[in-house]
Amino acid sequence: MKRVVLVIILACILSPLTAQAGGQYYSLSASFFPYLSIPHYQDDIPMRTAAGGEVSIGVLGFQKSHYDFSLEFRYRGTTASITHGFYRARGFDSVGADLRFAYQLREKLALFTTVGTEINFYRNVDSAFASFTTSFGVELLLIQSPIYTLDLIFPLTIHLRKEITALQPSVGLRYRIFPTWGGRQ
Amino acid sequence: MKHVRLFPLLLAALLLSCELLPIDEGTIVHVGIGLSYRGCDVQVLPATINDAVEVSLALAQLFAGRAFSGELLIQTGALDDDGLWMYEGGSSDGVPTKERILERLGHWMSALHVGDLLIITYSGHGMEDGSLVLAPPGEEGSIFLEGGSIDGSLLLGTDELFTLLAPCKASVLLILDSCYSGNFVQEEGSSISVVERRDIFGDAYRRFFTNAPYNRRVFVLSATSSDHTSSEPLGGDHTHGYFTGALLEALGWECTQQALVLKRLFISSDWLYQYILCHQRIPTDGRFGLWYQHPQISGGPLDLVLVSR
Repeated sequence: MKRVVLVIILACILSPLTAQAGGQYYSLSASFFPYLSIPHYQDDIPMRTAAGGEVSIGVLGFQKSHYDFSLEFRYRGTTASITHGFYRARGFDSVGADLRFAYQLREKLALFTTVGTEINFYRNVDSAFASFTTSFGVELLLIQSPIYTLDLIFPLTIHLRKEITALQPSVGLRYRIFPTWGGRQ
Repeated sequence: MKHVRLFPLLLAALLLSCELLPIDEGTIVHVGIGLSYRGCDVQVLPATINDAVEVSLALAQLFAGRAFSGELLIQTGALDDDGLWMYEGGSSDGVPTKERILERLGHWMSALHVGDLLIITYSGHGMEDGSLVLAPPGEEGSIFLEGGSIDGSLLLGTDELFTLLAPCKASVLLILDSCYSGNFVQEEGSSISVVERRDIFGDAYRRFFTNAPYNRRVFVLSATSSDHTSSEPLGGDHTHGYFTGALLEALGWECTQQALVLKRLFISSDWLYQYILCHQRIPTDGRFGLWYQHPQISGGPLDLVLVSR
């Protein structure tokens, strides 16, 4: 674990130094979503509904032509679900990392996809679990300046837990800052 | 932009989930078990009877207005002519012998259905493997055999209890205030406990790739871990085990009035666990000595909700 963290830190520090001028950026994203969990085990109802939000920090982002690639660290908070009968799904907090790839279709429209993994901690009980996440969606350019961009994002995230598959149709904002060059090409 | 307008509609459709549909409230049954071991050849536990009786009363008041049944199996001991405590005998009504407990649990398991809830509480001694020490069936209060070993026929072990409860269609909440009761909190297939120091990162991913399934049937709330004792105060007029004392407080129970004085709007197994962690009158951390106990709770994705007003 320590070695993984060390490699990530070194990559974050060294990669911008080798990046082509103009391609490197940092990003901050925030989104909100209903959290719709579909159990793999026998449950009273086919799906439980919660809500949540997530914040991602992109420490290693590069943009080249129509392509965009970044490594992001993410916090996700999910509430407990609505109570049904004697049960509700536990809320949890997650910390993880994603690889993000985007392709610019038009001047103000891009498609993106992510793959990632995280460790999740149930709230109120001392229990944790690992999971994987993938998402795809569209981003619409709202504001552009020489040094930053602001996009509206609509990711559909699939949270792959061992005993649950959850859908997160999200809406959010993504801010990118280009320290050496501005804007989307 | 047409697609953007469709997004809120899609969101609203997804949010109209099954949870908003009304359901019938199920039956709730409480089987309370408490042993003081008065008249037996083991250490007497005076607080256990208060625990069993008052949890039973508290649950009856908590679920007033709902389909609720309560049953108490307690071993209080009896005073003889000289004012000394003696064992009342396993044949006395309501004494929690193993045979009687298995019979009563078997009865409720066949009587309850999907959507019902069976709450089992236990206050008494526990062995190092978690086994519950039950009342002798005979007239003598002998828990130890002549050779000095404990009579195995009086023990109700973890495997035996879980095997018994496995076919139960109703949900089961097992609340244990006994030494080593953390043995009943078995790690399920999807998550790991982080109470003890461990390699969370490695263990969580290893758990993800095992074949062990998640099974929600039995929720367990235990007073302590699998390797530690559970305590009660050494003296006092009206005592409770530290764990059960905090549990009663969480339910809104007031000992002096023998009534629920607080109407909690929401009570779940997770909430009870968190309340007990914060309010029990014994440390939860063993770094500075053996005077501690850390409650445990079943892992997994679900929280068992008792009250949601």
